[in-house]
Amino acid sequence: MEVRPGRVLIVDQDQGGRDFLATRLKQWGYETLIAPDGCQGLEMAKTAQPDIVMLDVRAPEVAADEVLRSLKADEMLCDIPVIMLATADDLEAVSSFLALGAEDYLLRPFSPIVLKMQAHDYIAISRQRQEERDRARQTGLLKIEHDVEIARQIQLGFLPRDLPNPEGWDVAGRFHPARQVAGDWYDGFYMANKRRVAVSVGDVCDKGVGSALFMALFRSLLRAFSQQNLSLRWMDTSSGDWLSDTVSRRRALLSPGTSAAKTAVQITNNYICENHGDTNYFATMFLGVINPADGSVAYVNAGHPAALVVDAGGHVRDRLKPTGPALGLFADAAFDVGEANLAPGDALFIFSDGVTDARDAKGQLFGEKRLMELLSQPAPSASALLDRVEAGLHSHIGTTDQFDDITMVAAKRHPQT
Amino acid sequence: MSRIVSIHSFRGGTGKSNVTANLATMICQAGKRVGVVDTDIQSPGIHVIFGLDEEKMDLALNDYLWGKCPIEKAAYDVSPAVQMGQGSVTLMGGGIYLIPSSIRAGEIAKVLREGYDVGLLNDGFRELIDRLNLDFLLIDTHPGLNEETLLSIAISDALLILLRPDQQDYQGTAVTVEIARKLEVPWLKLIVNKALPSFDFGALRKRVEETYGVSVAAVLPECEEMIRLGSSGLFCLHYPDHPVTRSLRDVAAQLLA
Repeated sequence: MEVRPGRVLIVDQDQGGRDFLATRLKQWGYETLIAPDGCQGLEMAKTAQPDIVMLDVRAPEVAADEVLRSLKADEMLCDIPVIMLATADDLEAVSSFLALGAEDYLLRPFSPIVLKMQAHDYIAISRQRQEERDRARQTGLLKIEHDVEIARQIQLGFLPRDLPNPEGWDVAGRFHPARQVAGDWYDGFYMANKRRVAVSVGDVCDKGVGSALFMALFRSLLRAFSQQNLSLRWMDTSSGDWLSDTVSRRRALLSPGTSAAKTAVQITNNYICENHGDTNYFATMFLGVINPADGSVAYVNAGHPAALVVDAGGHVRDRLKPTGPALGLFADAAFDVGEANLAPGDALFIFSDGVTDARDAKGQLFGEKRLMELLSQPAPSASALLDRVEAGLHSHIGTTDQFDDITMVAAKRHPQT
Repeated sequence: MSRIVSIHSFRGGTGKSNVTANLATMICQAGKRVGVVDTDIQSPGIHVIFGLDEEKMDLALNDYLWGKCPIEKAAYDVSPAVQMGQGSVTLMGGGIYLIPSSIRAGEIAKVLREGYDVGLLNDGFRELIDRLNLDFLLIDTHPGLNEETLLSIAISDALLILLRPDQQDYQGTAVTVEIARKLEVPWLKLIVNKALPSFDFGALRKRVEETYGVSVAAVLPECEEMIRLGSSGLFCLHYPDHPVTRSLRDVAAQLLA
């Protein structure tokens, strides 16, 4: 690697002084930059990044002390050694400049020997400081990478270690971030004395660190509030919607877990709107509450891609579409509860849009059609179903960078023997 | 086809538990299998009328709500208490199964502190009907509006609202009737209880029916016998020919219809 010659910036109002310094330094192989006043001196320091600055104590336009202060205050320039150029009469002033951070001084008339020594020594010091700064930055970057890796590990900890698997069912999930950390999540937990199983998939807008932080918040609020015994506040008998339901539907909606799920979604939505409304982060989410005893499902879909009910033969017989807007958009938004049923052999398949939006090398989307084809072959278990979709995605994406987080959950009811 | 009947009042002290216990007894005497659930977790009491000793109450509704036992395990066959008045007459296929709430302070405090998913009552009622083969399920509720009463009203096939001839009861009943209307309870009737015997019952009945637009199933007089019995047993067994008993039998007949 070529070592470039030391670069010296000379800021001197005295023409004679400038010429002397420039000639000598050039003779010794240094590169020189000349500025007649403090103003131009600062300009050149910023653009040219010299190794040392020689500064006249009587520099005009921008006074020398201003120049010195500016240099020492600038993050990129503060390490450059500054040598004050002064006469014997200026010695008092020189002490104050040294106090301000100047490294040394050179008295007029300039002694070539002293000049040579100072140029040599201070350029060496300057180079050393530069190397240290580069090393520090490198360590800083490594630390950030290290922190992101830690974040990735912690985020994986936000996903359930084991999904609930009640008798007669199997439940499985898959999670593939596009970057080191993801804005998607999936979750599964028991509710109401293990009489119900909640499964969910969520997707915070955007990708990367910001989404990952909100992923943690959304998931935690939903899980925490779902497991509270929150009051039946949604049964607001003065409002019309709930009351137009038939008696049998009303009874079904009063199942354990349903009111908790709906209230959890509402509280989470309001919390995000009230506390983080100005960040414009939002999340889509599907939360299903399954009764393992009879396969009934009560669900809230907040702007999320419809979850699919796939029967034993691989046919998609129901789409569980949105029952409300994405979370974090509208304070006091209303979320309805949908109903579905899983017969023996059926599977509930929930996925984030990273599945259908997955792109191949040519930019072609994976799409719903391909997904349906993969689901159309019967699968013996939830895991097998997810494996098949994963394999399909993998071959579609190939070696291209994964565009968006890919998350899926499947809950399959065993066929009746 | 099983029927779920809720017995409710807006305010306390209207006589819900006694009416519930006695109605259950009469329906049982008609040969039906009747379940009675005390959902008044904060102030349980109907078990006393059936003569169920707290010491013998091992499991209660509370245990089901905490997931400690299936609900039918907290059911007590209180039919023997009913047979007492029948002498040698055997009950034809009938029976009463009481699911009490715990009277232990610690249990009550736990519920108040932690709450529970009210939907569990919905599941529990259906399981009781299935597993105990019940024809009727009577729900004794805590007075006033709360999650349990809203749920009971929402899932009931029939609702009996009790009130005394008292201004506070009159006001409160209007609220309950409005909610019951909105929830489209299929069968709704009022019982005016503890009316002074000197009142004109016919005029009282008419006035109440006109005020709420709801039919009155019975007007029951306040009586010394009831006060003296003081919930220590089933009134209809102790006083089978009393006017109160006869009126209640009328109500039971309406429910059985």
